[in-house]
Amino acid sequence: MRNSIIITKQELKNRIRSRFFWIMLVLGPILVLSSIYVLFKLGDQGKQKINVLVSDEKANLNSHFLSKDRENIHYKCRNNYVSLKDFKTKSEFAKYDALIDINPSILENKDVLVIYREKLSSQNKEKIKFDLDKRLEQFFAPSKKMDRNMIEHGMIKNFIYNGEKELKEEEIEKNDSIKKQIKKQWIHATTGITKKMKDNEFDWQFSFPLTISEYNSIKKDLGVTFIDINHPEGEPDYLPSWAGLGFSAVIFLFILLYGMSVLRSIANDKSTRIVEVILSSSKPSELLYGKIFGVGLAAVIQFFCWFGIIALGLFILKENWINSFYDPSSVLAGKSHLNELVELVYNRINYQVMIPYFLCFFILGYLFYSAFFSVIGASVGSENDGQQFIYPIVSILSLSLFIGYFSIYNPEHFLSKFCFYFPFTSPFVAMVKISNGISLVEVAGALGILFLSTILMIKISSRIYKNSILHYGHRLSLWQLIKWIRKA
Amino acid sequence: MSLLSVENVDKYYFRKIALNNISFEVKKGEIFGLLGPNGAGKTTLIRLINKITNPSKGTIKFNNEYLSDKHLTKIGYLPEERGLYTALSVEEHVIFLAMLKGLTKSEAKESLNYWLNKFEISNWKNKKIEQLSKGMAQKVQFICSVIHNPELLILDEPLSGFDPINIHLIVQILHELKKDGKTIILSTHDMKNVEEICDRILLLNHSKKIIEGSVSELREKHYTGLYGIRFKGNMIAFATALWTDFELIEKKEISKDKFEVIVKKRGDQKLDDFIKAMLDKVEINAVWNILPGMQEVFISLIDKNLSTENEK
Repeated sequence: MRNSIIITKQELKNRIRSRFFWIMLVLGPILVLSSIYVLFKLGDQGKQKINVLVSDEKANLNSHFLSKDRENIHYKCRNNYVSLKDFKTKSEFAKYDALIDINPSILENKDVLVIYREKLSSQNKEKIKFDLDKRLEQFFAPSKKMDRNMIEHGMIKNFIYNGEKELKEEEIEKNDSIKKQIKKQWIHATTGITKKMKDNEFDWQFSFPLTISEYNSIKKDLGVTFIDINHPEGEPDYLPSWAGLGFSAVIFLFILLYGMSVLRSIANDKSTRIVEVILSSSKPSELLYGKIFGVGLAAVIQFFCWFGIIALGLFILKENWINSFYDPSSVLAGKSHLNELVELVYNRINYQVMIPYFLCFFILGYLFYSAFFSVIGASVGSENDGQQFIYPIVSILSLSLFIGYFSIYNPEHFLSKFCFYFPFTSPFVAMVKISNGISLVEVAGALGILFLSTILMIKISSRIYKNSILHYGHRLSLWQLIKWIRKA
Repeated sequence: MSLLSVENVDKYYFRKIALNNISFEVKKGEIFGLLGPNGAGKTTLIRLINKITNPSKGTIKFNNEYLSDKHLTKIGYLPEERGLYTALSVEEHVIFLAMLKGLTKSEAKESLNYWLNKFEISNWKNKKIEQLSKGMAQKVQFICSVIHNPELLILDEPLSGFDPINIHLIVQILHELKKDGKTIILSTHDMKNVEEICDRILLLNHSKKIIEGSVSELREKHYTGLYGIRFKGNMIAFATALWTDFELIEKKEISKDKFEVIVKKRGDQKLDDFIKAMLDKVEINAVWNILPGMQEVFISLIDKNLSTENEK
């Protein structure tokens, strides 16, 4: 154990001192951040110029809304109901890319349905949301005092109807109690928070009617649902799975790079024959564990450095550039590049869940695969001889990553389910599955199998290592490996 | 008292036998030569003593205890093919290996300073191994094997690659270590070194033990009847005096009428008979027995073993 620790420390020191470590430390995050920046900058996929049909049956919004077209969105209003079926089939609607369904109760439920034919860009989605929101703002927070039009179109009308009594504007103005109740219902209509309010707690902090800022401070967000006309039941959301695959790719990269480091280190010790000196002081297993853990620690340190640098880079990007995405004026001015990747990176990835699971699968995956790399390192005559034997491992790793990709679109397929538990593929498939939400029991099962397989593999590799490390001048063959495993 | 005792040891690599029923003892404080042609099993035997591999059969005892991992800190090993971590400095490399032998970092540093001073190479401490010449690197490797002050030092071809000055230095250090009570197992093909350094030897051939004994005993045992004589006088008279009992093998004229000659007896004659035959013919300055070198002993034993095996 003591010798394992000494070898681990030495190996870690060797890795950290190597130029490769520092090149990777700087280059890796720069490459990742550059890629993210380029993808942010390029914007997202989706049709950029669109014709939008607004179906506003009760003409709730169209009198104020959409009088002016945007550069790339052209609105056309109709004061009749257009069903999804009609929109999909009738030729008169074929020229429209999207349909905004303004339901008659929009002022109460704040829900809007947007049906699109071809995927909309995130930017256009944001603009549509913004336009709808802006219209509601105009409706609820006019600059002039409340007028008859507002009473008729707002919740105030309901109040009057519920009270089975019609009130004139002047009567409302005169009666504080009615005014108070109107205000309360009005806020209910705009914020949905009436239930929490009681009369004695009601705070008359707002002037009557609301100003835009007062409205914005209490407003209930508009719920805009985008529906693919071909998948009205809802299109599956693959975005988190892609994040999971991103984590799988990092695991792939680190296993490959650091697995190769283990191979090189062991093969180098063997070819320079220093292994003989070390084995006269330590057990082969101690040397093997020291190598694997030392290199692994360097990998973990490098990962945390990457994580820190990338997190800092993303924070700087957000502070200086991305935050403008959430500023409506930027969206209107077309300055922002809000897209799915930005959404994914900043809002959709649950880092608190992903990072711990990533570390578990990354560490176990590395240990599992490094056992194979160490077997190759110990079995071949020199580092160069080892190169040809890494292809099978690289193929398995690549296939595993591909199955991770496959499981994004086929999460219920037998292969995806099997590979989630199969130790060779589980680090890659698991990250995809976890990103979509999965029960703790299933993850624990996959981790447990991977853990036991890792222990078994390290034991087998330790046995091969012990028997092969002092064999020189032979060609590696499967039969030779089996003989070394069988030889205790 | 024996420090190391190897009893009936066999070692198989799969179905190939590498050592066949080997037994011998290494006494405390002696320099023990491990000899044999290539492939005889020397390296396998050394690996067994270092516990790099385990015997298939038989036992190895260290200080009358069965050899175990705890004894490894008392054994130093310099393999024939030596590797170094070239990216490390001399100090880092030696301290790493010393710590694996159970020393603390400060103990390792202290011991390293002692050995660097002894070799007068203190200024190398911070040099990268890759900057060292072959001879310099070999000194570092030697230091690695003695850094933890082992009771038993196993050296496989320790002098190969050294220049004569450094060979002398290393031999001197080996004698000093012996004087300090250390036991040394020396595996070498250089028989001159064996004669010079070793007290006893073990000869292996084809995985088997051929012979074990002290160097002087073996040389005497393989005495081939050669005498050396230095005399003043007439060479013809000397040759006539040899008659049929002795054969002139080699002659060298040192100066005018002064010769040094090697003769070989043909029968059961003794040194006395030889001296008597010469006394009134020439003026004898010196006469001595010429013992065979270890080289001759080695070749003779291997040839004998080979012919025995062929007969079988």
